[in-house]
Amino acid sequence: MIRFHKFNSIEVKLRQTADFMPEPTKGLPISDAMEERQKDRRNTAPHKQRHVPDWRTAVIVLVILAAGSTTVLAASPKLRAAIAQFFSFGTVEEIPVDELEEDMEEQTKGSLTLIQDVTLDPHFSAAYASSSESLSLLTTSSGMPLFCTQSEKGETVYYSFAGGILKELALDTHRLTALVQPDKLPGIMSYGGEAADYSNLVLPPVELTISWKQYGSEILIDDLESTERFSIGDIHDGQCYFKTLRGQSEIVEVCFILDGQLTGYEYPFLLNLTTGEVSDPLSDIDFSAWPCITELSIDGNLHTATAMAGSSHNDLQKITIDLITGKITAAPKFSGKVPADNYILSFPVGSRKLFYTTGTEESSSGYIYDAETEKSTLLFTDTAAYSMWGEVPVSRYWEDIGYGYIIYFENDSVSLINLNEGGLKTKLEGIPVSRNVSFFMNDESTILSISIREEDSFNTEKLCLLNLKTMKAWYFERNLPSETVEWTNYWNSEYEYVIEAQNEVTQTNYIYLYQYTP
Amino acid sequence: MKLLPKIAKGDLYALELLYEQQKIKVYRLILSITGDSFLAEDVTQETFLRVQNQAQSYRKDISETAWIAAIARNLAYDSLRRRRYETVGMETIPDNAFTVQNVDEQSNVEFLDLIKELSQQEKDVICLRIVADLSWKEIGQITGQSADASRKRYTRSLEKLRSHM
Repeated sequence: MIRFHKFNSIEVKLRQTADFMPEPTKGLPISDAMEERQKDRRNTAPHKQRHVPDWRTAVIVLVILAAGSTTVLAASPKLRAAIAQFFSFGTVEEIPVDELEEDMEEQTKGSLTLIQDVTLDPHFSAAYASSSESLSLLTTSSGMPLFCTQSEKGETVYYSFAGGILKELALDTHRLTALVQPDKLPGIMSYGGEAADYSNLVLPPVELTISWKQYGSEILIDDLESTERFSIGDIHDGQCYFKTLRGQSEIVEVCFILDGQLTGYEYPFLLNLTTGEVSDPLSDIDFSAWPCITELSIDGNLHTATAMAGSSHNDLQKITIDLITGKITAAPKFSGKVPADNYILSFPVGSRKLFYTTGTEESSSGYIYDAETEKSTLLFTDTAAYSMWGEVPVSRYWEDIGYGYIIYFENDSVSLINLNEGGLKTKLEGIPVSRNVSFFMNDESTILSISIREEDSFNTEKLCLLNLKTMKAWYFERNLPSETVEWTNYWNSEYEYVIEAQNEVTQTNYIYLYQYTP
Repeated sequence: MKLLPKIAKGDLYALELLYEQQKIKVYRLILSITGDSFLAEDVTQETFLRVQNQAQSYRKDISETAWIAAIARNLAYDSLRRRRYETVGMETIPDNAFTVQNVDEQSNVEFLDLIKELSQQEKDVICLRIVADLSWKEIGQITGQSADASRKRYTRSLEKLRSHM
């Protein structure tokens, strides 16, 4: 007892002193490097299309601030400039709670309720769904959104949503067990100080079971987060999960992960759900020129694959692998003449342009460098000092949002700079210079969402969806029910913007689906 | 709410939320290892960058907290290896870990002083248990030991501290 007591005293003393340790002083930088990686991920995401349903007109308790916009091109000796102005009409989107309006048709199927489905005008609509269970939204190859609920027991139910009608899908569950055994794995992966060379690793056969439903040509894997875990000797651990491939109605990708918590090494196989055959489409590819490789993924066409690869972990770039010819291609290298001493942002794969900054602690400038002409064009100059993020100086006055666009904060105004068009600068009237403003481009880089959040909250109090082709913007204020917390905003497809929320008291989950018709 | 699946989908709100939830534990774990409050600030931020970049590879067989702690621990060791410009085995803990190296006068690092008599491996398990507040199973997953071996090492470490008091 004494021994235990003394142990306990030591432990208490350790905990007390640990509790008095200092706290971090810096905030989280949504840094340029983060955004760069975001861009890479978005670029590799499967392309999604959308079927535009014939929305029925419902009781409109939500009135949107439809936004007209004018775009004015101004002459400039070096750069063109544009101004986008958002005109609001002074009404507020009232986010509905679970109670249905009296004259609204009952739209509860299983555990899912369609609270409202509102056509705001011929080009914009909003739908509000809720469930007491886990709730998510999928988009099929045809573009039709599918709601998906999952109970705590893992029972998954899918609901189609077309023409404003919610329909529970009665789908049979299929199961298949297959054996996966890779012959060899390419590459060395180093991550967080841990390194692994898998090229000589003898892997055991791994038995995997997949459970799915078939909806037309669509494969709906029941638990998208499910994994199978296995051991390889005493050192390595492995996991597998399944991933659908766009356009494939009977083949799925088996993502084979080694030492997932350390190296994060992934290698893909293909599983034919009809025949049970497992194949390795990368088995004949020569990766010797790319000793460090990760994030291998097969495209839905089954003819190409992509990966992040390089000579070391710090030198990764996106590569494309032709599975028919075995040829590996990467973005062209630059000549090294860029006078950047700070941040460099490469354009999407294949581009011959770079964005870079130079500067001192007193000021910094941003340029576009064209490798074809070997000339730089000045975009902007800041007179504010850099903030340091690790060993990387980061300007606090611009933000890379991917796809060749950056947001530039200047005094009390915000501008969108299109690097693909030589730095075309569009002033975003009405968007405040604030840490509470988030910018998120869709995968097709056609619509930019601008979310203005409440202070110290993830709730979006103003939402702007800016069509970059037409420069037309939907800009509206929002009023959330009390006790509701929003925590996820994302593009589900090119024209579908989703906000997920939860009632903190009842734990009811919500999906707010905004659909734009071009 | 599980945040990593959302972060994997590119949700920066979720990343910020996760940061707010985990930043103190992560920072203190890194500070324990590096003994450098300035370096710990940078490594903390790098940890969350890694979390975002690697969120896709996160699987549910380890808790989010433990997964983030594993990343923070590895990066902290990495930062010390770089500082010493030494080549050390990847599995070893740098011998300059868990020592006060660079902190401002206001920072309280008495914790490091208390565990200074322990071996690097013992300090490692103490920090993962006390500072990161992980379970034996999680500590075992991170250090490559069984849960029971982690618990035994922790107990031995406390015994050693007791004998020095």
